[in-house]
Amino acid sequence: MIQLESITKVYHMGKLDVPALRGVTLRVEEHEFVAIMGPSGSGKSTLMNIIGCLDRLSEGSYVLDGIDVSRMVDNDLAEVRNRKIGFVFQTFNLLPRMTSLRNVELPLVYSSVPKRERRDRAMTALKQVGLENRALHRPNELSGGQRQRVAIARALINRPAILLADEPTGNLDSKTGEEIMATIQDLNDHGATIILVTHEPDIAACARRIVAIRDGLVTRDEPVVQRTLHSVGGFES
Amino acid sequence: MNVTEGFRESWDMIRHNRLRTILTMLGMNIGVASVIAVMATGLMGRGAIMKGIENIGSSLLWVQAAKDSYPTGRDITYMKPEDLSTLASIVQDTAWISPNLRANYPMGYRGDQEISAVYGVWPAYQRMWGRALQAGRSISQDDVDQRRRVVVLGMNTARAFFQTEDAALGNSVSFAGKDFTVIGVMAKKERSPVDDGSDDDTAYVPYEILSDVTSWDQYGGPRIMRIYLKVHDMADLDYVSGRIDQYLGHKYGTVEGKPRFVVKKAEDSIQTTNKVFDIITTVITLIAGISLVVGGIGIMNIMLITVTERTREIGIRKALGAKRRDILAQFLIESIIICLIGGGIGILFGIGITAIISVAQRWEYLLPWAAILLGLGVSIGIGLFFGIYPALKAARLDPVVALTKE
Repeated sequence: MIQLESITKVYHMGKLDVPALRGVTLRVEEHEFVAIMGPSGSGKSTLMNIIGCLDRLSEGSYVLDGIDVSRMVDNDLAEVRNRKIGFVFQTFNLLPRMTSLRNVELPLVYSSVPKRERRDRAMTALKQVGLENRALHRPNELSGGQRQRVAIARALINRPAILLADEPTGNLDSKTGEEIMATIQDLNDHGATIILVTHEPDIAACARRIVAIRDGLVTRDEPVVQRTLHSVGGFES
Repeated sequence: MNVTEGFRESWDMIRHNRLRTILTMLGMNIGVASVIAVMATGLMGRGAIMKGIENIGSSLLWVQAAKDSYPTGRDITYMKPEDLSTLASIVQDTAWISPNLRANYPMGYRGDQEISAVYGVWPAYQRMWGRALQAGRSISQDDVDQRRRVVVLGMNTARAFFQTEDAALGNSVSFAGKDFTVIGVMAKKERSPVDDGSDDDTAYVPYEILSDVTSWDQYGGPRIMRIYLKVHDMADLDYVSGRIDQYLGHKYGTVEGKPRFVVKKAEDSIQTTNKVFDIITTVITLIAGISLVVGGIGIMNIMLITVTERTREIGIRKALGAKRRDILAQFLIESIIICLIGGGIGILFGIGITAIISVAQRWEYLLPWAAILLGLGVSIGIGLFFGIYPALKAARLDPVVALTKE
């Protein structure tokens, strides 16, 4: 699903070249659940941006779902993001003026899906995260957990190859965080490929495999022995 | 993203920032309204003046000494009474003809005196100018034949002597040592680009009478400054003017190779008036157009602010798969909609102002459709022109940078 070969990323800050990734090789197969761990400044955000096709790599190659995206231009990357990647952010990143339904259907707007189909699919996705009765609420009328679940519904709407979650519980209390992790685990159990970026060992322990990053290099890559499992209870809604 | 979606997003945004949008639109309102009002006023004003000319008609022409042909100091040749009779016989079936002999006299009535311009004319004169009488009648052929000393007074003179126009009829006024019976009073004169120079003080007497009472000794005999003609059929205009040129050219020859007399056509002054009107309207429209530029800059300013405020939103949209052109379209549509609404309201204002002007000036109300279409076109154009830079700025944002922006 993901093949990263000797990825480097160098930021040019004036005359100074700052290496953020110094040769990362990583493979993620379909149905995997990988947690990328590392302290701030380790390069994990850069790695996530590259995996998410938000940023371009300096050297190396990246094949996503059979497509070489290493040398793609802006517009093609946008299309890859639209079709292959579902983002879940720490700060939810919902558009505040729009209803949940509209937020969830937004990726479909950019892939030119007809209005009616968009509506139906967005509604189904909201049902999947138990928020069908919040479809016409705006983000500021929802709790943090609900917002994150809207974001998850949005991430899933285009049936992406991977779900990329960046500190998805960072802005939530621990109970709500557990619920979100339960949702993500459930998605993985049903076949979704998930990459989770976090600096919290507790959260990383929800994954099946942990990749640790430090100073732009992979320092550890091993399966999770004692996996934390959260069960999907009834959602509060 | 298709256009419908773009409109929807923009409409949401505009509703969300209502006050800001309204203030931004004001520039467009004022600009478009003033351009339309200026164009409409030009159109209506021209219409009113042209209507005035229509009464006289473009079939009018006149003959006079070609003063430009003479070197300074050289005596100017004027037409003689026999030329008038000859010309009259040449054009008798095709045109009305009348001399216009001018004199200024102190005109008296029972000790009151008013300085008055007196025109010596033929009966056809009032017909060709289409001037109405307030009271009485105009000079008739019978008056001319019978050598009656009759006068048609201007409205001001009649009122000065007799208070009302009707009271003047049948009374006698005196000038040049003779008494003249008032047979009519002119109605108030309306200004026109084709004009004989008369005003509401001007009095009209038969040409022969005025010529008789004038002392011509210093000029070596009677002379005629100007002859007016009006052809019955426009098709004869060039024929008549050609025949006059031919006759006068044959009789008087040239001065320094140039003709001594010139035939002028009202048609030419109408075209001149039109040209002047075009220039004035264009200049004022351009001045009004400056406010459109100012409005456009306002739009650009607000769009730049919007892009900055919504950097994160742009980042999110890009993360979800928006391409450059999607973002570009979104912001362009937004600025065009603001301009179109602003321009639309401006058009309504412009129509309103035009209506007020037409009522105040008693001009026929003419809606400048061209100006309205232009207003809409210009609105879209300004939305595009001043919206493209902010929209490009938004479209080129780097998704990573945009997403991390607080």
